[in-house]
Amino acid sequence: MTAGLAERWATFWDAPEAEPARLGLTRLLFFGALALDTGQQLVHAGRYGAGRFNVSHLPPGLDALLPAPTAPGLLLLTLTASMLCLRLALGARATIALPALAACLSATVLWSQLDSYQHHYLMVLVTVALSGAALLTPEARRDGEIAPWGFKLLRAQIAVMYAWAAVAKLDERWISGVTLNAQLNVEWARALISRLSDTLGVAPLSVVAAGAVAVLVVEALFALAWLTPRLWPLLWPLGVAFHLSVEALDLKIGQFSLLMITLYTLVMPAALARGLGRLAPPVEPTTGPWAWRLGAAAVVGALGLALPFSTDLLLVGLWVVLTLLITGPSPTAAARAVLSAALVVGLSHSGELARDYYRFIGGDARVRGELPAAVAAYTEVVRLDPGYFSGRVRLCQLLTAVDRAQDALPHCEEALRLMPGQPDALAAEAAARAALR
Amino acid sequence: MRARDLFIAAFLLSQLLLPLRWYALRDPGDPYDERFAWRMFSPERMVRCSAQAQLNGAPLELGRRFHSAWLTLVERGRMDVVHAVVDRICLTEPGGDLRMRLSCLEIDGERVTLIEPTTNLCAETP
Repeated sequence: MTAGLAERWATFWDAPEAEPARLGLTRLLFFGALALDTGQQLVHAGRYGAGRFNVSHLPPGLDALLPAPTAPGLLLLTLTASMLCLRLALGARATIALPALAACLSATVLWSQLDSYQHHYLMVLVTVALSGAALLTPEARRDGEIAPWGFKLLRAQIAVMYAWAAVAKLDERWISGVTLNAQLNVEWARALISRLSDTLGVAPLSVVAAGAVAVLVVEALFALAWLTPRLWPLLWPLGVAFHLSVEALDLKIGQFSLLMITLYTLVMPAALARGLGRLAPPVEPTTGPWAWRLGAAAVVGALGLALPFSTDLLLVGLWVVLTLLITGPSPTAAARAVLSAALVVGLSHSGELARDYYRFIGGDARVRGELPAAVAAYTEVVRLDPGYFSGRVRLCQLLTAVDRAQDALPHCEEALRLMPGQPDALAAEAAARAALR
Repeated sequence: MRARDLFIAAFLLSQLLLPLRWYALRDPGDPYDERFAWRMFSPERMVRCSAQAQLNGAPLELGRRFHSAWLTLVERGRMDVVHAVVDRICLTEPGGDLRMRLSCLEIDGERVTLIEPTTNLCAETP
């Protein structure tokens, strides 16, 4: 009996993937989406270590053993994770890249309860599971691949997640529709509920309750379907539609929906997966001239220096070492390494991301009375965005408050040049001049 | 048993058992901590708590001491964070008298008070 079970266990996990194209496609889409999600966390890195206060996800006894997180530390981990996600999406060898990514994500998530997003916890689990599949199978380790059993483990994990999600909804407050009703805020959903309520002649809450019960049933069926390959042709469109509807309803769940939709490639119809799977870059080669690796590492290091943050050389050094370790020795691999780093650097420079990272640090430090830290942060704000009126005014006020009115005045003058006669800027300038007298 | 099989078994077992903590081992004094339990969109997620603190008889504005992101977790009734906030205040105010009321409004309208301002929390802090 035990021998039979052991044999079935081994047969299940050892069996090759029925449609290998799915795995390459999942890798491309999932890590691409994860790079985007990770990049969006950059702006929140400034929260970490504020006031040297932290509560980790570890049990209280172990919490004390951890060093307090810092904003630059989180920045380093997040930027590196983003770069590694892109490298894995573009075919980097998984043997080192994937465990390194799992380590970065685990540290950023488990280090502080500031990150309590369930999808970030799921991403830690996904990368840990796939790391196991990259490290614990000799052939995968040799080829830099992720062994197919890792993706089977993901399917099991997703099934378990849906099962628990359904269990959580076996609650009178969910089944009655009260909980879902409180979370539905988009206008079109409200209008639809109202129309259905009128048509059916029932209370609007009854319509929501029917929807809530449907969600419970669907999640329970999804748990079963993820473990039943025969159901995958049905599961894929239903699952994608389910997560798209969560997104359309604006249910405040971050990028959970996007990441889940990319994971649904694991149950995508075989013909579609075969067609789209051609887009997935193959895993980079293991042998070739080292010059490509060295060249890529040098360019990636230079790109690291071009990040908009006041990052230290530790990040640049980490990127260089990782590039040397995970890049295949070929011109294509070198180009992909450079492209990944360039995308992360480009994303960091885009919009107001870097400026807001410092603005949030400065704003928090100011509220808590840590004025030198606020001055340092707002100095970075105006360095990154010299034409940012509010940043100029705030820096002027802060410098005046720390008895540096002489340094404050140019910022007020610049603010008034940007918005002549603006009352806040005029008041800040007057305060600075008064402090000089 | 191979390392791979141990890894898979441990991974799946942890995922089957970890959410059980919320259902079977939940601390009644910490009813809203749903971490690692896959309880997306739950009633507990919708709870709204408010914390009023007094230090040595004067109102204490927590926002002047802690990042707003931590106060958001206090407003969700996350007691790990509340206890750490209390510990930090007591550490920086030796001999202080810290009183707090933490009350939470649940989705069905029930109000639950998790901390009453009847005792000096710093006297309880080691």
